[in-house]
Amino acid sequence: MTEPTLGNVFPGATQTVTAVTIPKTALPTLTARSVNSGDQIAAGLLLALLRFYTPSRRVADSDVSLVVQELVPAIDTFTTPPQLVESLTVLLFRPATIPQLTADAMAGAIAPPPTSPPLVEIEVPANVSGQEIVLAGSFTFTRLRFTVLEGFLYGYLGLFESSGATAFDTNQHPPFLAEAGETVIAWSRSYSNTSLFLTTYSANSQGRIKISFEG
Amino acid sequence: MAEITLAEIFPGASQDSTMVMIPKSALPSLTAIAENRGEQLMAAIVLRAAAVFTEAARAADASRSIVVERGSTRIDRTFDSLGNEAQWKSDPFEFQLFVPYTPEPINADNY
Repeated sequence: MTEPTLGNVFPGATQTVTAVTIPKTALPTLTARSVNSGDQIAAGLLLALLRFYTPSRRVADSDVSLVVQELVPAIDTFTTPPQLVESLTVLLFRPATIPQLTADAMAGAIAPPPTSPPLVEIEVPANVSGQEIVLAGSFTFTRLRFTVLEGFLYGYLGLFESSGATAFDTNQHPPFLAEAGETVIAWSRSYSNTSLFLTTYSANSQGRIKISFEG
Repeated sequence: MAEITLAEIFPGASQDSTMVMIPKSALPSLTAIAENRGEQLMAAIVLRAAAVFTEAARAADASRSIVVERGSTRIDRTFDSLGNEAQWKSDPFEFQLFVPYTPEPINADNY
């Protein structure tokens, strides 16, 4: 069978060598205005994909290489105010050839991923509250690792900019408990700043923790 | 902060009351030709959304109401009616759309 076209998914859409033009009428549930927000348009695009790329369409025609799984609603009461969270998953399929398992393929160990030393490591009390962490110059990290050196850590972790904006915050999730020697959490995200404030939200924690900012 | 604009998602994009124009140069990894296949365009839109709607971006700006997280590549097998196997890799992108919500009081009469 033939692949769906742009116009199949977004009725009335056209394209040239440089641009795609999509009528707003092709974006379900969008009330068209002269300026819709980016989030509105993105949600409209997603809902159009959701309506078109159903799992049954790919079952019937393997030339269809996208599937959008149904919306799953949930209520997040950990935020103030509470929010309704609608989740959907877009699956992009591509043909693959997976080599057959052979005994010979088991020779040799898989090399561990290369590790690089932390960019910065600091030690702070486990019940730190609002401690400023000044990073030298412009600084970018992609992962944070918290290790309990002694005592235990019970609660949440938050890291904030001097403006009050949140760099990250685990306060939306149940509190965790980590004991000495355990690495309690590792984030993978990019952030850049020179001055951050750390708090563990818990006076019950005891001992010291090490925070590694990794590149 | 102000809500994200269309042009912040797709640089060079524009809109009026009836249509949205997205330059193909804003769609990552797409080789622009006069008639790109529909799925090329959809995949590129998804990739661009995943690059823009990061969890870090929402953490830094609460007005952002979409987060995309890319999952691990999976291997799928399908079989046609004759039993012939095809193998696929699938890349999942989970979109979370955050909508304001007002809890309703529980009313005994509803039960």
